[in-house]
Amino acid sequence: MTDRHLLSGPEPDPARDAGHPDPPERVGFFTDTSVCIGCKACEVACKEWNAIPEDGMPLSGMSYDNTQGLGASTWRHVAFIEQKVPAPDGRTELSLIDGTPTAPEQPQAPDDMRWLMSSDVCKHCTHAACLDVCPTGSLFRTEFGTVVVQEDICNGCGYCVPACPYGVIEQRQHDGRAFKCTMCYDRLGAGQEPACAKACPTESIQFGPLDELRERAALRVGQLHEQGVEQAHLYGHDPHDGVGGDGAFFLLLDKPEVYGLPPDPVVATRDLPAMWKHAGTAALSLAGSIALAFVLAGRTKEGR
Amino acid sequence: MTRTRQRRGEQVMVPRAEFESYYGRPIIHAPSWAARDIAGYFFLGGLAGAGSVLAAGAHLTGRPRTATAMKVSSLAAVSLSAAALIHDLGKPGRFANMLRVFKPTSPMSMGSWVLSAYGPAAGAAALSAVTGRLPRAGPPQLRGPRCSGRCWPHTPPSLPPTLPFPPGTALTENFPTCSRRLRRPPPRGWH
Repeated sequence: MTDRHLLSGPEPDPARDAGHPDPPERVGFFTDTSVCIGCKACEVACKEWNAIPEDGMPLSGMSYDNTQGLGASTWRHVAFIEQKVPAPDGRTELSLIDGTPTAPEQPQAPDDMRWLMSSDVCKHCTHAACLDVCPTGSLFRTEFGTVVVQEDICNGCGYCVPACPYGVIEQRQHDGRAFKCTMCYDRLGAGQEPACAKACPTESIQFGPLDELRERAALRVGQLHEQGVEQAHLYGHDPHDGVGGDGAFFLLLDKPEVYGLPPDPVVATRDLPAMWKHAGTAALSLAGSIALAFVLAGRTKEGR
Repeated sequence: MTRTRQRRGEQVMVPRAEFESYYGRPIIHAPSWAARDIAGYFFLGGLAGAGSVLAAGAHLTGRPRTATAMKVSSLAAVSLSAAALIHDLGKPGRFANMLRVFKPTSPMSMGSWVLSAYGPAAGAAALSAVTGRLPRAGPPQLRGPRCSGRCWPHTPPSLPPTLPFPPGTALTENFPTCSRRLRRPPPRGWH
């Protein structure tokens, strides 16, 4: 293999590898959570543009977050994390959900609370497990390098759901089919940016060619480090990670787990060759054991 | 990291990872499969496949009753297996969409293809075994070795003097006596 890794690892041009002869530049999102103000304009714009049905109206008790997570009818999700600074023992204290906060060792000033807000979305992975395992070809790689579900093809087998290492795609109840962010494939085709990026008032969600976004993100991290925000780091930007890099990556201010993101996501197809080898071994063992059984049975028969 | 299993007398170097997440929510979505459907699909599919291999062995070693029983049970198992898979789909009417693409990266795609190819074959084998019809249509592997010796003189002159196909792909229409040898004993009054 040269620089094309079709199952896992860096893959510079997924759209071309998917069969688009002359694809445009790969596009993506850079979500800079350091300027997110939690207005949820992205959630609303996404719902409006894509005509997504309501996803329930519960009061979650999770700060201002009643959306709770990405799903079949939630393609943008703004996470709200209320943290005390510094978090005890280097860990983040998430105490608001159960109402029994661990007692701070010393009384803390009222202004030492910090907010982390982050707009989460489908990562449009370079190696998208959902796409790889889809048995109908409903999920496909677009010419923009994004990953989209064709709703008229999906037969609701649900295989993509546990395959996604980020917990993004989901089957919609009472419909049966799987749904997720399309990065507004219709808008991209018309030369428009996705609805969420368009609606974001602070440019926390930035849309553009992926290479350009990666450069911009690196500059932004450097800028934040200069300003003393040491914990700022990028997430999902690295083409050498377990999914070959994300089409939607993030600037985070704490560990990925705090935002509900997996620290080290891996595409399921990385283990595909090993899996098929095991399956082959199992099949051969079965055939061998049965053949042996008949051979031995034949011998006893002759013996009698 | 899950590899924190401790060997006897050895200290774990890295402390066990504590699960941490956004308000304790799981990071990936749980599968939406109904346990009975998908477990049933796998179990019955495996049962059918293994049964067919047993049927082939029984057929080859001259145990026609066992072979017939295994063929029939395999047909029943593979039918239920397919039914379970289709029942689990969010849109069962779209099962055929599984056959739009052939994707080795998707074990479910391969499973659907195996099911679609093997299911009808199992059905044909079972029907043939039960009715005694079309005995020559069975899996050719099971015929080749038995036929090649005795049937050879009956090969029509139009065929080359050596077998044009490896044993296992033979067109047994050319071997008329074979068919009778392998056929189940005809019922009384048959002729």
